[in-house]
Amino acid sequence: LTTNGRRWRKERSDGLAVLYRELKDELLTVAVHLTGSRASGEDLLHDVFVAFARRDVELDGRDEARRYLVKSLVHRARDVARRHAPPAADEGALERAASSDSDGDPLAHVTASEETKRVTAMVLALPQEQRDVVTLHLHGGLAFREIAALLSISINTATSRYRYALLALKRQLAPRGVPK
Amino acid sequence: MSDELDDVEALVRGAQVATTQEFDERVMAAASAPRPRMTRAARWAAGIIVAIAIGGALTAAAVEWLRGRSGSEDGAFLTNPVGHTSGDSRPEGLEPADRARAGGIVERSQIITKDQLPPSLFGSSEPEVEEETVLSYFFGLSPNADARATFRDAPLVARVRLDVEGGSSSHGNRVVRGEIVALYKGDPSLVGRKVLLHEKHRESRTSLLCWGSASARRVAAGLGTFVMPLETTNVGVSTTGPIHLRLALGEGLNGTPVAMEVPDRPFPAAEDEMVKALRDDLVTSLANPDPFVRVGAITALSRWQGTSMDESLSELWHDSDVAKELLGAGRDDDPTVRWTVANMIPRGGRDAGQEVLEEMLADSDSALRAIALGSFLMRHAEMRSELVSTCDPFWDAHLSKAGVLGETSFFADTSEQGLKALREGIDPMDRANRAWAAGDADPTPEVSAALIAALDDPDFEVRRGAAHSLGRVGGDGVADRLDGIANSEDPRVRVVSAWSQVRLGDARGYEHLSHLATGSDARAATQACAALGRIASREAVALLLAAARDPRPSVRGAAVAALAERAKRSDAPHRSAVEMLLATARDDDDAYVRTVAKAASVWRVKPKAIVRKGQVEVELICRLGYVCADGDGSEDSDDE
Repeated sequence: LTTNGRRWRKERSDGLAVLYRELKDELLTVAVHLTGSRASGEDLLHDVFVAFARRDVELDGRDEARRYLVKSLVHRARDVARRHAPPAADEGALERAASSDSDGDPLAHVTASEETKRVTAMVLALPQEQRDVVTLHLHGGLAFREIAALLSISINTATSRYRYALLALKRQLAPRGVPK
Repeated sequence: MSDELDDVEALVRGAQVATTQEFDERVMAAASAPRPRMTRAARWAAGIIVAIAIGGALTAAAVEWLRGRSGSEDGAFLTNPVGHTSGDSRPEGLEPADRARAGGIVERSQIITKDQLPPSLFGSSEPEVEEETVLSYFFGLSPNADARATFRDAPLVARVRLDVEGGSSSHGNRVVRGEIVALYKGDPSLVGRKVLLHEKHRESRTSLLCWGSASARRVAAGLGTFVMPLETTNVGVSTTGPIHLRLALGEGLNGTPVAMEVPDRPFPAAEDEMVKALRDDLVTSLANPDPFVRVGAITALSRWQGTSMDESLSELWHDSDVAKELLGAGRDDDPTVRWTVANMIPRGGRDAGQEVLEEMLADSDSALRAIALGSFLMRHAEMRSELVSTCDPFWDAHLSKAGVLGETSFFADTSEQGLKALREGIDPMDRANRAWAAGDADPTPEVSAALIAALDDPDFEVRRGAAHSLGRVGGDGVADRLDGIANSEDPRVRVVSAWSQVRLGDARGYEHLSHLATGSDARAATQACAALGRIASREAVALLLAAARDPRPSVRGAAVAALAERAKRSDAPHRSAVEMLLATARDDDDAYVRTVAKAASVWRVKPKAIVRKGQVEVELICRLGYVCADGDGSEDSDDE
């Protein structure tokens, strides 16, 4: 490589690292919600981000990159779902999906945020179509217009799915109370 | 959205699934890797196809044009106006010199480190075995079937020449020094770097202190389970004199490295071809004049995993040519080679090599008889009592201690007979082996009960093994039983017991670990620090920060190492305090603590510099052992 080539690669690599650091948790959340399991979510995010890194995509700023990556996650998840049969039900998947460091670190499992685990488990328990809208809006930062286009549904459908999902979550949270 | 749902929105928005450090590193390593390029042959092919297509199109166009111009019907007078293009002939990957140094196989390679592989590959959760190095790739060893399956894809990373020295660390681990002689999946400039390794603790019971040079011979014979931990508590190494035994276990042979490329997609046919070629090379190496190379070839073949589409070792035996060569090695002039063959025969399946094995049982070499007996008993355990009496008493006793005769006890034997041997066997070493191995068993009430009974064994090592395994298999009342011995046992048993409690999700184990980390027993405190380093909590980090000021260097070093590992996480608690401590520890009075802190700084303090230098490679070396290079790794980074 020439000096310029090295510098370009270095700058690009640094930029990717910054972008990844800023978006990783949001993107992983979207991926986990789309796939329903942490392992599949990680695979999905890995593939999408690596593909993104290898593609010379011109994007203007963090938000646009986020939207691009979120849409890529949706497309990739759809491809994967089309190719493979849905995985067998795994009772422990919901809890594991919410835990960031459960393998081999049992106390982390114990001390991890109970609230996060509980909410994630409830979101994962929503019907897929409602969960997609909720996660794409709240974690993916997409507008309902974009979600509607992405999922090939009308905007009204997107907003009502979103509302039903939140109402369902509120009902589940009600016994314990929603923290103010 | 109405106000009534705002709270729910906020709650859901706040519930984010966090990535792990391991995952982040894997993604960034893959994202910053060079894009896969077409092979040279593929480029040529593509170039030719494009040229033909262009040529065809132009020819057709020209024919059409000429038809229109001359009225000719067939255009047969035309010659192709377009020649072939040669395509880009630039070499791929490394420069030629680098490629030669790296063995010529780094093209299209993807650097894989331990971090990028599933943790299950490195299944041990003993507190004192915090890290196992990539050397385990060499030997294809793994504690469970899933991991073995994954090994098929794992590349070999480095080829290391090892020298075993007659000594042991304060933990009784044997000291192994080595030198990287080739690095296939990393920076070739690392070749020649010294590494310091330790043999796994479990194997230390065969340490040289116990049974002299025979242990080294056993190692040479490839009988050792060489899964190398990065043992960070190597202060106080006492050597009894070097033996300088060169190992060739699973190394590349005849200059052809043992390596597998990481496929672009799972198991392409090309990989099978490569693996077959590798196997042929190993078989050829069985005739190498150097007995160590022959030993290496046999060992590599005995670890043979093949690929998903390739054959397993047992099928190797069905290849008459391979079987002939392997069995021929059983009559090798060199005893080391014969021992290796004797040890590998049981891996070939029920009947493979039975004749040779029986022949070995009558050999004049008592060591060979003993090893062959161990192998024979793996197939015919029912004949143990009958056959052991025929063995040379010296070798019987010592090989039994080494686990050769008792080889079966290194595997989880949950049969009624096996569990009875765990409870009532007369040999404490055998009981200990069984207790440690039982952790790999499927959890059943019978296994748990036998292990709980073993907690009362008179031998400390058996109790320790039982405490360890109970943390894996669990069971009703196990946590309480472990808690019951936590205040009355040998501190080293208590560490393992506490960690097992933590594994079982019992927070009382954490309390015990915190007491042990500040207790009077230095060895237990060291191991407790290693265990605390694996617990993600503010309290654990605070305890480690306190332990890092312990007057005992071994405890300080263990605490610093544990903190360095924990601090790699971006959300690590007490981050600034940890960084400050690591900086201070680099000037510690004790050389060991300084070494640990410097090793930590290589991957922790200047991550950007490391990325420039090649994080993966540096980290690889750190995980292999200490970088025994001249000077400080962080200063090297500055130069970048």
